[in-house]
Amino acid sequence: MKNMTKEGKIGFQEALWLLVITTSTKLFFSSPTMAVKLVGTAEWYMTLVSAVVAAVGFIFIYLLLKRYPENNIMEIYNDVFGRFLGFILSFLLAAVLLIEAAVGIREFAEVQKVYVFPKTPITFIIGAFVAVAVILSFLGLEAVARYTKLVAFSLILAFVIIIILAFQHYQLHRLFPIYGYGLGKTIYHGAMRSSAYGEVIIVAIIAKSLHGAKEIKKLGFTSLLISEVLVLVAYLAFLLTFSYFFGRELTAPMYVMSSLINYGVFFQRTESIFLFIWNLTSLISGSVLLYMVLIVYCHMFRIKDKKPLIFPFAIILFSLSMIPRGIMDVISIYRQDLMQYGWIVFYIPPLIALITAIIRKKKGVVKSV
Amino acid sequence: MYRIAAFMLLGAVILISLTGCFDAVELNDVEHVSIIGIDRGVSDKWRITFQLPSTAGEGEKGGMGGGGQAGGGFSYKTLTIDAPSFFAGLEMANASIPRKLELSHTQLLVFSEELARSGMVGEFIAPIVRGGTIRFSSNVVISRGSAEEFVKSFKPFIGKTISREIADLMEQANESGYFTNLTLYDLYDCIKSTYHQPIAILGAVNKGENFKENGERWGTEFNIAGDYYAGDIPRKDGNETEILGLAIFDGDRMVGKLTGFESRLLSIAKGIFKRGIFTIQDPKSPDYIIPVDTRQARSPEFDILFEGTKPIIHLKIQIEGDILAIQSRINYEDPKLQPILQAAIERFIKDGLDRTINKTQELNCDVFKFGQKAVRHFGTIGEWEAYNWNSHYKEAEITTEVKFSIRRTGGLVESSQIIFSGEMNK
Repeated sequence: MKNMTKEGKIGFQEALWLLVITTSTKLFFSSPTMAVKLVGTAEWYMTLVSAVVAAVGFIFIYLLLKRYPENNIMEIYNDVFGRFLGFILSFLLAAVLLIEAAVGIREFAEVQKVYVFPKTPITFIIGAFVAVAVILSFLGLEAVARYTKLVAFSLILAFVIIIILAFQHYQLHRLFPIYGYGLGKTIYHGAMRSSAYGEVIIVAIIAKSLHGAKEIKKLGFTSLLISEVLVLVAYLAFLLTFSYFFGRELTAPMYVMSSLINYGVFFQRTESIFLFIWNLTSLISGSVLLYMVLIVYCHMFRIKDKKPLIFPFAIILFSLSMIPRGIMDVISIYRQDLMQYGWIVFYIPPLIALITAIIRKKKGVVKSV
Repeated sequence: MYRIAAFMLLGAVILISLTGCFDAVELNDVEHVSIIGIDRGVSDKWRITFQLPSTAGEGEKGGMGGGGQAGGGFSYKTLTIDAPSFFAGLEMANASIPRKLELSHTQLLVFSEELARSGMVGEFIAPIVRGGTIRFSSNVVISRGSAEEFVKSFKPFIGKTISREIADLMEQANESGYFTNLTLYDLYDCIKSTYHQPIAILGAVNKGENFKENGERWGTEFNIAGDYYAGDIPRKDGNETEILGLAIFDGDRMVGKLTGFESRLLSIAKGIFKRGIFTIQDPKSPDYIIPVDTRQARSPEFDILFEGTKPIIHLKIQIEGDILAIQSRINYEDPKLQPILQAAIERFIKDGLDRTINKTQELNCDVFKFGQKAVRHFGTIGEWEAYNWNSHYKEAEITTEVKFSIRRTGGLVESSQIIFSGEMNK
């Protein structure tokens, strides 16, 4: 019971799993495919580079939050840059998170259509997804976080089971040539794709629901570490199962990997376990991102009650997710751009805010002891 | 009040969503395809043969649940159609079959050798992989005759279900090593591979042509067991179809094949051999044979070096086995004589292995997967692809080393002589 929180606060475990699941959901879709296209067999350690760069980005966020122990990132932007610039930066953050949610939902729906529900209209799948996100948004952050913690362990267990069962197809030679398309390319793309861990910015959005700078630091780094381990293990499993020339063709490699598991007539078709992980993580991720957008938006316009905005934002989310023409647009344009350039919004403004705050000697006021 | 309304709303949502909606599939609406055969077509590009199970008596009794037909077993029907593409053929099949053909339980894809040799396998499997309807775990067989004939002849020999028959048949790869359990996943991975070249299971309809009812009785000559291609085993009765050996591909074009014996040696060299019985000539009394139950003792060791662009490969395999019979009754159980038998087995396996390696080098197809080790000498994909391992395999200088150890001698620890009467000895 030590993690039970006061009203408006969420515990460490809840926040941790919320961050981990929101961050690592991408690996179940086209993310491994796109990464192998860029760096080939070096994909598994490219993600280490991404995580290190993301950790550096988080250090800026943490130092900023430490300077403003009772504020969230939107309040800090307002204080450091003034209301107008702060509004713009918050808007940019909300916009990127909303686009990320929309792209995630569309990617989820497209892959579901390819492998599971070929006849179901895409609007129905997205509509059902958004409906769940609406319900979770009405329940609030605490409910979502508690639900995430509740399912996190079963999801991790299912993930580990899939990875272990897929062992029968692992071939070590598929990790060679070890430098992929070249070490330089690996480091470059690894650094650029640090946005894959950009969801760590959520810590700064919900900073006021957490328990101080020390917990924020622990939360950020632990979530990055766990997400990195999950992504690294998944990428390694993917590379060991599919050679670089094969893996680059697959729409949802982790799904295909789970469908390959075959231990005789009595144990096969384990993708049903994978579908369980897939659906729940996607739903949590999409809902969390929508809720984050609501928090930022409400702060921008000083709206106290989020509930009236849930349906309008759900409609915007639905509409945005319908914009891409097809799966290739989602994978090779929207998802790719988010991965390549998301860091500009996730890590750069906090860094500039930190430098500005230091130069202008600005600090947050501690109201309570 | 609100709670009741919310509860009713939730109930309504669950009722609607749990019906399966758009992708609901009723068992009565689909026909599962067990085997698909693909030949080059005459009226159109592809000749596709579907084998479909149907419940016996279903028609007469008006449904699967009716008339005490439970456990009545399955019968199998086939449909052959010429079509411009696989998916077109699938749709055109529904002009005569009132159920949608469902491929998620398809276990065997059979290509004719003629089609495989014309380099059309890749062209055919690309849309199948994209469609995702046939599972990657389906086995791929290259039929020496027409695929249509193979599919029509493939029937359950033991039991009544074809799915079980196929699963059990593929398990025999672990029992004999005369072929390898290869799937669509293996083929698709290998046809694009920069590390090695693909292989597929070789199958055929055995018409019993090699089985001679009458003739001169067999003397003391020695035949290597399993050194046949599918369809050539001298046998009669049993199942009409048989699976033995492997087809070798260069890219997606079939260029050669391995016998069952050669396939077993390939499995040993790749370290995937489970067990199998090698029958060798008795080294001291060549009129007799000694069968040895063999298994892999250790994973094979490869050493690969490069002299310029030429690969120098040394392959060391270590196997072990148990003596099953000593017809000559020479006491090979004696530790002093065991090295003689061990050396004979090593020679036998090494000769077979060298023969198999030479065969694949003549075809320039690295099916031994030496490239998987060679790749470690290259830092980047660019360097590796520029070298092009598959084009250099024929130049490789390959030496082999075989170590064999006798572990057990079965239920007998000594072979004593058979005693005849005086007249017999004379």
